[in-house]
Amino acid sequence: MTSLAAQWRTFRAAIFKNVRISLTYRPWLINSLVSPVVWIAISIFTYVGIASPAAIEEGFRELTGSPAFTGFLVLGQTIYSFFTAMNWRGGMALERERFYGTFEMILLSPASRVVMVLGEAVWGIIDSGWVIFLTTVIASILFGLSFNVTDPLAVVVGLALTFLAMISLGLFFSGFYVLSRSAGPIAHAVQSPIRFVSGVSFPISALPVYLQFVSYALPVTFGLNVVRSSLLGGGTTLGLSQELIALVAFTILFFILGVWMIRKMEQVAKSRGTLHTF
Amino acid sequence: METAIQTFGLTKVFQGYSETRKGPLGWVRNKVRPDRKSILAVDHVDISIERGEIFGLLGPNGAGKTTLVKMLCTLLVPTEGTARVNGWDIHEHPGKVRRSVGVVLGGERALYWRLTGRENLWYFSQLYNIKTQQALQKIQAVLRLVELTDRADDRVENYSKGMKQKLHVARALLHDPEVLLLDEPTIGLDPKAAKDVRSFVTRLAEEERKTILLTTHYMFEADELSRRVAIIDRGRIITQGPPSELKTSLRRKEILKLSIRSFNEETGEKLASAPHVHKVIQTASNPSTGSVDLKILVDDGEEALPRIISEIVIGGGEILSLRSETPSLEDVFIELTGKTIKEAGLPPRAA
Ligand SMILES: Nc1ncnc2c1ncn2[C@@H]1O[C@H](COP(=O)(O)OP(=O)(O)OP(=O)(O)O)[C@@H](O)[C@H]1O
Ligand SMILES: [Mg+2]
Repeated sequence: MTSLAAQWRTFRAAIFKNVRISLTYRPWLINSLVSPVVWIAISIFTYVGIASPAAIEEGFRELTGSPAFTGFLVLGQTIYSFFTAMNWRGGMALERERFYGTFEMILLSPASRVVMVLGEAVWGIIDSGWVIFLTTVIASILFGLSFNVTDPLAVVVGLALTFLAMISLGLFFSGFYVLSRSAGPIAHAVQSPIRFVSGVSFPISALPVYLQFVSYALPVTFGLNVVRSSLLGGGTTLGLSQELIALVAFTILFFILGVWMIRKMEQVAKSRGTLHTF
Repeated sequence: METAIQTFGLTKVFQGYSETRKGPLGWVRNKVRPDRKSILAVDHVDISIERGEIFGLLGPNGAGKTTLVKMLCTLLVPTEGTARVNGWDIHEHPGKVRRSVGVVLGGERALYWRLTGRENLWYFSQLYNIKTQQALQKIQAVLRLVELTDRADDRVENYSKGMKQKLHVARALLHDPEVLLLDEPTIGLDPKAAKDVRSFVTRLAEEERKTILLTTHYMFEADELSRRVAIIDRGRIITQGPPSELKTSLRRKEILKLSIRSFNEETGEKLASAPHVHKVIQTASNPSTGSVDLKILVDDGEEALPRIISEIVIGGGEILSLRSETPSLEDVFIELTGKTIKEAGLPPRAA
């Protein structure tokens, strides 16, 4: 059994490596700041371009219980940005090692592969977190957001559980991507469909019922509901308990699947001899 | 004597895709991604290496050296057979095996280019669960050993090939492994750097009693460093033993090196079937002078020579030079495979 100290060293090393490497790729910051704000603008203009604000608010009240459509769209982008960050940071963590050519080297060590990915994923949340937070603040000022919080605990717990669910999802993707041997294309391909079915820029109730089933199979959807409701609709911890429990369940489910997937990936790659390839 | 590495019928087949792709989806995938042939890369290898021994694995390109090393360090799962490394079975205790081995696979890419040499070592020391103080000391020590201390704080992307290779070696030593697996440790190094690597490989075995498995294409390197050598060709160990013993197996034999102008195939065949002649190998051809170089392995030079000369002359050839020498490891290889090590290797055997 690997000791807790060993796990901690691995976790810290994964973060150390990423901090050092990401410092050398700072120009990415420009894209991370600009693109979410532009996406928010696109979705807001899509609505206000065809209907009056009053009509849009009325429509949103009917579908979501809250008229705050700019808030809905800004937070939609915020949570979706966390999803994409996780997709590329945690999800691509192992694939990136293949790209660097260091994958065999880390697998030569006795360190836990799961902890390595968790290190990358947690750092991904922190590192992209402040950028995403900044874009949310910018967008809130630009598009005039009004928050309605009655239970701050719901906000904190909601965000925390959303992050955990996404970290778990990242863990699962990390094994799956390497196993698929087509990580890049798949990582790109999952983004837009998830944007569509999770209700990033419109209420899910607008979707046909069969697609709503897909929506509720995704943690992003629940994360969006919880965060929007606690920040804009005065949602409480108790009132959101079902969604919060769903997020916990997703976290556990994807964690187990992730651990299994990473093991499977290592086993398959080692018998086919594809660890060193890219 | 204690055994540090032992393999039992260790075998690796790289499976072709078509065999594992079944059904309609498999059919589509076979169309989309072209098949690869199954390759028998390592074929029932049995070797045994003692603690503190330097063991040389010698073979041409594609012989299966890297594949064998990767199975020993758990980066590849064998198709058949098993091995014990430092007392641990590679199937049952892969984690213990990983802790016991330091591996140099070389290559330009297998380091973080955007990190400095020192940062690379720090990162890996942590994956091996080395305490901070101890890790910092060890990093200093291995940097000093490979003489990279001066450049330790430069990014690896600015290192030369040789410096990268040295950093690979330094990393392999971080966790003080009992066993070192060095896959062509001197490849791409200049003569001075290669000599440095060879000398600290010797030191590690002598002073620290590390067990070292070293692969190489270079006969002299295997000869100079190893206590014992195994020659591998197309996945099979064709002979093993101390270099001197392998050479004395050819003791009563002699090598004649000839350079001949206007040499033809027919004469070659006649030479090969002449009495006392074992093998005739063309080692080089020089189109500008129209001459070829031959190595002829004979069991009695004096008896064989008159016949060899007359066959060449009758065939219209002109002898430019003639020398006799005692067999080297290269000749052992030729004797066993009928090829020089440069010609050998391809094509691989289908499984
Ligand atoms: N991952 C892989 N997938 C398919 N075939 C492979 C793989 N790795 C090696 N092979 C094949 O196995 C055989 C042995 O390769 P290996 O790399 O072990 O040779 P080697 O002795 O290390 O050669 P070299 O001296 O060129 O490094 C070769 O025919 C090679 O093409
Ligand atoms: Mg090799």
